[in-house]
Amino acid sequence: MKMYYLYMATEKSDLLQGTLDLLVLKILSAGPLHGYAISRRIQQVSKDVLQVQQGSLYPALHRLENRGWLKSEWQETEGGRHAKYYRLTKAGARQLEVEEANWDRFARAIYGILQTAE
Amino acid sequence: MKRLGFGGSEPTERQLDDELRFHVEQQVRDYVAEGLTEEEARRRVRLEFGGFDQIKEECRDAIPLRWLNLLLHDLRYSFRLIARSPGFSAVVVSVLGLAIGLNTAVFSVMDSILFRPLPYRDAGRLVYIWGRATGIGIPDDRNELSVPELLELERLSRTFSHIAALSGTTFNLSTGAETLRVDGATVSASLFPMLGAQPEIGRLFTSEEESPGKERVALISHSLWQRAFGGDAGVIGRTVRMNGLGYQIVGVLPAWFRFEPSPEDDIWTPISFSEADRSQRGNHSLIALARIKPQFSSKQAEADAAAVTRAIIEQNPQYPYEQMHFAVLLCPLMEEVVGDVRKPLWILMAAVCSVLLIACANAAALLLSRANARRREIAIRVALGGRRARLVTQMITESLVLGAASGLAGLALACWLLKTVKVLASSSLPRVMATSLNWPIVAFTVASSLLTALIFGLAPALHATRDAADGLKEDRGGAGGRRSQRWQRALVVAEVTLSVTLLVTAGLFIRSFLQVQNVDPGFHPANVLTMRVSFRSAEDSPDVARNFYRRVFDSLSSLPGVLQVGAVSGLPLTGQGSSGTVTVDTRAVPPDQAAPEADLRVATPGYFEAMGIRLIRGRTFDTRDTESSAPCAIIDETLAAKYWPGEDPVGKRLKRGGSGSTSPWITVIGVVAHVRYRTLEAPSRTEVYTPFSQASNKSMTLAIRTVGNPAKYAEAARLRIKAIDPDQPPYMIRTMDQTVARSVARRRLPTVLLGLFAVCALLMAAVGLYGVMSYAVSRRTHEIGMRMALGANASQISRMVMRQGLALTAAGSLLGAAGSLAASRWISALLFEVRPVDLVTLTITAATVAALALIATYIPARRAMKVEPVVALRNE
Repeated sequence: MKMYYLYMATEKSDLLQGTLDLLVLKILSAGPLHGYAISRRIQQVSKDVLQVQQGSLYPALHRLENRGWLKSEWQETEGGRHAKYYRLTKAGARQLEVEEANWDRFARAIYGILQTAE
Repeated sequence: MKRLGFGGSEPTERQLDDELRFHVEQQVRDYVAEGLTEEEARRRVRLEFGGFDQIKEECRDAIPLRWLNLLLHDLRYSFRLIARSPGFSAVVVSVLGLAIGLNTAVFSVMDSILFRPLPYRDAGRLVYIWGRATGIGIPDDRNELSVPELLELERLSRTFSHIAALSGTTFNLSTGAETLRVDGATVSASLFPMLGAQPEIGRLFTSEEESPGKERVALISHSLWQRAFGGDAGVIGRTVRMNGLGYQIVGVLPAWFRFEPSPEDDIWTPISFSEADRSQRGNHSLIALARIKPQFSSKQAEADAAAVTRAIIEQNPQYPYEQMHFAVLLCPLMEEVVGDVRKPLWILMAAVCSVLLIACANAAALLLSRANARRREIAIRVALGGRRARLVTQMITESLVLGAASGLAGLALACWLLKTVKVLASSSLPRVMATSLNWPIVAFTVASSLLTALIFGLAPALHATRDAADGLKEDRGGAGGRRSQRWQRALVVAEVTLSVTLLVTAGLFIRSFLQVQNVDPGFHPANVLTMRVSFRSAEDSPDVARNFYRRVFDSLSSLPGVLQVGAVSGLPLTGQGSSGTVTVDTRAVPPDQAAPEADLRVATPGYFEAMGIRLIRGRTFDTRDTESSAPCAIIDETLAAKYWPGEDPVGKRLKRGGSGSTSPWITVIGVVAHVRYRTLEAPSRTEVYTPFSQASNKSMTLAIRTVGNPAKYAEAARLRIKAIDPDQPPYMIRTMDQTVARSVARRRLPTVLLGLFAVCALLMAAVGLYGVMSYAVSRRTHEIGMRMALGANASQISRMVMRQGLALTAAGSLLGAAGSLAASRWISALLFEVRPVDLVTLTITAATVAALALIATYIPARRAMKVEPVVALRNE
């Protein structure tokens, strides 16, 4: 089965960026995680269809944090290491709803065209 | 809520590192758990990850206002870099600071003299009026006007809203406590309204006060008011004695007011014309100033002046206007005040700009060699993903910091220079007292320091980051080093070119100055003390004046050490003295050409002897010439040669005024050498001297020839004169040598400055050459080692190095010589009896440059000689 790599082309395409943002916000809505865990979770939940490149993930995390939708904190993991955990803020939760609605509209639109084009 | 990227909010380098490293560790652990070896796992993760730096860069990019953070970071980095090499930075900042300071000072002076308009209302409409009169050989033939000519001008001209006449004079001002010598002028009442000057207290003149016989009034300047009257407002209405007469002070002019063509004037009284004045067409003693009406352009005013000229000539057929090629000339007031320093100032500006360019070239060369030393570091940074733009920005920030520091140093230097200039140059430059540091100047300094920084910073920055990967290779004078060397060599050639051009130009100026000093002025200025006495008492008869001078001569002659005493109405090179038309009784030229304009002087017996003016024929004045003996005169050799060629002029006749004048005929009794009364640089008009006993001038300058230093006698002479008449203090007490030096002051200052700048430029270029040659030697240590190992001896090596250095110098010198030829067309008007292609100057310049180049290349050459071949080869 084909695997899709979510990576940053040199011209960051809005679509890919927006999608990654949505995924990150959604995943963190279940609870705070560090960067590596987020990337593993995306892979797991999508059943290995989507794989995030670190070059895209971390800039996205920093951007989202900068816009106030995430908050970061250094904490100890179970293994006793130090990692930077990201958490969804209230504003982030609101933004998640907005993004989900957008994606929904988008997906319906695409699906609509695919249906009629047959 | 957006987080701003200041200070602590931006994730630090360390934190980003830790975050990404954690991810790597986790991923490796998982791969190992899946079955890979540690090594394979790490390799895979490293591949997947890509460039750490790039990711970190992207993370940082996610934050807005990043450029500000970058700027602060660059600035901190630049400061650290500069602090790490204080010697280097100090050299760059001081050299550039010197150049920027000089530039700012010269530009300041230029601004206040040339660019700032005169402080008068609508000053562009003010013009000086001259009458052209071709006498014998004065270069611009510009003459003052006579009273009839001025009155006709007033009557006939249509484009002037005001016309004012002036006549400069000096006053003996008695304030009760002391007698002061004050410069001033008699002026028309319309002068101050024309200039837009309102009195600070009191009032201006009315035109009624211009009539002779009216009550005498005076206006004084603000500074005189402070000096002599203590700023007392009660001075208005007070009567003071000036030249033995009572004048009522009616007004004080404001502090800003200065009549620029004659800025020393402190007192003004109304001018008045007697009946006698109104009939003296040939007595040219008035300066005239006019304001063009707003509705006329200057072209129209000139056309009107031409029409007035024609009218004056037509209405006065008896006067030799045609022969004199008479014309009414208009000259803008600004031109009059600053015209003759405009070109020298621009030349000085060009010179300091050259010095600045050379300083920039030196700084660029220094930065280039330093960038080369850092090539490895830069190469590694580029290889690890650093963007070239970032590196260039960083290097430019560094040069901007250096530029800013130089700018500050330069500004401080400029302030100090301007203070010094005001003190030193007040007699050499017009309007220099108004020089000050103001916003345009400061902006100029800032702009020039930034521009300088960009010039010397950009090229090395671009150059060092291009093909940076080369820096990783073993450098044995590799391509990058060679290209850098080519740049450096080009810079050195440019520096030498500029400094040679400057040197030759300065040399030409210096030679001109020396030539002027060598001119035979017609008299011997050494050991002559001069002082002026204005025996001005209108009521007294001429006898009283003659008596006074006789007693003064007797008293001064009896001083031990005094050889000769004489007096004249106008001393050479002082601007004193008047001129007028004389009609010569001769058959050698047609009658309509026999009435030249001559400089007229009244002289006492002993004058020619005291001044060392050579007697050619006949005799000088002596006791035989009294008020009752036949009118006589002494002429100069040019008059004799032109009007009585081949004959003995003694016994011939001439008279004052035009051919129709009723003045009595005067007999020539002697011929003396021509004296350069106006300027050393050109012959003056023909000269006619009349004896004091027959035409007493009230103001006379004493000339005292002494044994040894004349300045020593000044006090004694002054006291003797005071003893005879305390109301007639002598003033302008100077030696003739000092007067001659003052007359060339306007030439001396630019010459000295130009010489200084040229020396600066040459020294900087020599240092630049030394730096480049040193660097070249250090880069070629390997090559030199090879050569020595292959049999070259030390002197061959050193000759090779010196040849290279001298080749650069020769190239620069040739270009510089060509440049100076081009420049000489620009400056030729300012040279005096020196051709632009002057072998002496060129030879001296070439010798100086060669000598300095030899020294500058010798030291690195010696170092090259000392290279141990084994060590050199092994180290590379």
